[in-house]
Amino acid sequence: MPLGTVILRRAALSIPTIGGIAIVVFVLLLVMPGNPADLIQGEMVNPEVTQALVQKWGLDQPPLVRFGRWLGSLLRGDLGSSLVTGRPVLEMLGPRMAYSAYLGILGIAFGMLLGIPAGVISAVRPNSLSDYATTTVALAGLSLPVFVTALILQLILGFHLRVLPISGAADSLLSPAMLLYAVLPAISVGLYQAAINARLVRTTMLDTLHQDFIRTARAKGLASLRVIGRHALPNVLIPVVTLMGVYLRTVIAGLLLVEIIFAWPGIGRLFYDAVRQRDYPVIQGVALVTAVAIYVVNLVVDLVYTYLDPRVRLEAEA
Amino acid sequence: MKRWCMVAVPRGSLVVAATAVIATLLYAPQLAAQQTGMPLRFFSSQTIGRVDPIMTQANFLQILSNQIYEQLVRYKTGSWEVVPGIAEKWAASPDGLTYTFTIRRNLKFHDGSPVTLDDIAFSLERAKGQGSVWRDSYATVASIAADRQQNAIVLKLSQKDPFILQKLASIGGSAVVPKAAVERHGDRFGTIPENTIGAGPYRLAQKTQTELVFERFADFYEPGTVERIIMRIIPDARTQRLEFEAGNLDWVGSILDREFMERLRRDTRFQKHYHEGPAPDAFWYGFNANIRPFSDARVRQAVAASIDMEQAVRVLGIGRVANGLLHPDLPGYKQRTRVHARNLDRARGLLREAGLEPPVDATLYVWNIPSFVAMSESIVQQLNSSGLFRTQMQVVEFGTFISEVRKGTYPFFINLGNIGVPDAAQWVFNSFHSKGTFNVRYKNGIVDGLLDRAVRDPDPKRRGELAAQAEERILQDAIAIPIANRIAATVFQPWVRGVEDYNATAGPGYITVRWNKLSVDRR
Repeated sequence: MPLGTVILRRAALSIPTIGGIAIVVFVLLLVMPGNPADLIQGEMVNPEVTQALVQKWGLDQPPLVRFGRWLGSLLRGDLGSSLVTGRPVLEMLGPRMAYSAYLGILGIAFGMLLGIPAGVISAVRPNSLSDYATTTVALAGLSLPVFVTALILQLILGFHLRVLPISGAADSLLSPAMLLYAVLPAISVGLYQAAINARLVRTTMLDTLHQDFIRTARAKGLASLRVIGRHALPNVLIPVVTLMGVYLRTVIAGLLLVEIIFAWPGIGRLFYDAVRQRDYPVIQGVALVTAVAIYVVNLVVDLVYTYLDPRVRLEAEA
Repeated sequence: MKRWCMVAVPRGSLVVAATAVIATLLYAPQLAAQQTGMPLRFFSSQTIGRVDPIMTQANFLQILSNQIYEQLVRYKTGSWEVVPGIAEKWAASPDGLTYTFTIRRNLKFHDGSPVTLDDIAFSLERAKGQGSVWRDSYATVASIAADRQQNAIVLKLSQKDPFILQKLASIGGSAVVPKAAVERHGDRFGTIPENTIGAGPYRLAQKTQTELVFERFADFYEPGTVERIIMRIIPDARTQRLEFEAGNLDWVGSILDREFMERLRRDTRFQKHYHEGPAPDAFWYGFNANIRPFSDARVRQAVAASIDMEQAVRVLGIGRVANGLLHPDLPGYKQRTRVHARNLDRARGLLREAGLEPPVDATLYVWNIPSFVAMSESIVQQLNSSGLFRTQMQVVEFGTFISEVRKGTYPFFINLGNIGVPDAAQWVFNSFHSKGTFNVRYKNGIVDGLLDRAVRDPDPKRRGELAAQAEERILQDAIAIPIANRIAATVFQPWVRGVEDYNATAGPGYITVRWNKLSVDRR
């Protein structure tokens, strides 16, 4: 099946899924306690002001009317405007998505960079000191919640050693200083992935190294590094890539906490602020855009997967 | 070993890692230099959406409103004293029903346009209008007019209001905005630098994803030394503290962390830079008189008589036990003995009179500030160990809490209310009069009568006395159990000058600090 057709088909299939997510988010907001008109006033809530704002924002309308209006706007490519800032949600989401993507990609890169070599080393020399060390560190990485990792890193590298900023981000993603700000949050996000990668690569590599084609390669006299790098590793990477879609969800969940702790202006913090202020259009916008992003990444992962494992493509064609 | 890496590691990741290392080496000194620059740096834990004075009652917005917008009159820093703002002076008529505010000449807004009488009158009408959080403050204002001959704004009152100046001085209460800009930008006024226009000492110069940058407004009528202010958005309390302790922030406006407070008290470096005083709020456990079993005053009194508040406030750590509801700054405040002191036999008797068999089920709703939760845990433990109540605690986030209290769904809850202006009568009226704006579903004819008289009385002292009488009734009824006079604490770095000679937490508190009165010298 041509690539374009696959993408179109998957895009068509995504419509009911994303529509379902939009409905679920809307219903959740309906039952969610709290009122943006109260919260915008601070601690001393004046019912008259609340009433005026509720009417102005149309929150006194029946739920179906509100949903219909939101859906209508959505179909015109408009996610509405923030109740707090009055700014269009799309305009708010753009830069925040970019910040989160930056951190997410760095986190995943860190997870790969650390996890894959660690897993390979561990598998190539099983039951060695390096294997035990890798396994122990991986276990620690799996056991430590993201926020604990974040706090430890912040305290040691940011506060005591002062080699990296404790929190914050540069104004521009293109600024080289941005990388400095990103190191600690990226490690916090990526450590869990690194640990999973290390364990997954170790197990898969151990299996692969006992396969016939590896024995054949060795029998042909290929160097050990070449056997591992060219023959074993591509096979080992297949489950790693498969898990990328799952990782993404973990990364997004981790980003929510990490962005708060490190004052990182990403979509997780936007969502956190929007929930705190009950800024309904922003909550709906973030939920929808995140769902679409996860869908797109899963699609990309599937396409990469077919590239890495030709059997999948052949089976589909058959 | 070298080839190992080449084989196992994706090439793109190596590039990222190498760039990170190079960037670290190149930019670390630059970053350090940025961190030792001269602007005043502080933070907000909340993202700043809109700074529009008519929507500004939360402290984190009032801090900004106080710099961006100049008011007709305002509070002196750390004091309830009203001082000139855009009005250079004012005079009240002998009958107290007309206030004439003479306006400073040649004032400008941040966009360069002149501040006119029309702008001022428009701003006050806007604050008085529907949808403004200051609407109640203008309840006694019958008309607002510009007197061009005297270059003055004239406020006519429908009745004598001894606190009208304080109401106008509340941050945001009489802030002046340019009429043309408000009409042009509508609901987006105050959201981005281009449409955030005031006549205050600092203008919003930049608003990025990470911070707000303010620049000193050269045309402001008072001089200032701090040219730039950087306000970072840092949501996490622990991170805020680390940044301050690392010297990356110059000011923590409000400290709610007991351990941090104790450390600052001991640290001699902060001797003149750490301020604390009674917070301008009242703190109590409240009941909803419409929900059983707390609709029966005897049950509420039994709860009050089962609590040792000294013990609970020790756990809170940031307050001193209050036996009444009036703040020490309010007229009518007096040192009291606790109306319902801990007495379990009496509490048991009260429940018996109410026809209830212990243990009585109760749920206490608390909002999620760690010190409030810790104190409430102590209350729950005391109630349960008395054997008279079977209490559980529900911790909810602020958004849910505030709306549910307003809707009247919580039977028993913690409450913290800002006193706003130092008027005991209005404060007690707002919370405990059956027609009060923030009433907690309480109706008592005697209290209503006392408060009706109190808010109409033009004499502040008599207002205070009547409010104190109402307070006595309220305490007898135990619709509210006073907790503590919370301690407000604020700290500046030792290199911030201009804060040594006053207490920034006095009066309305740290929100009244004006940045143009500070200077920063990190040398």
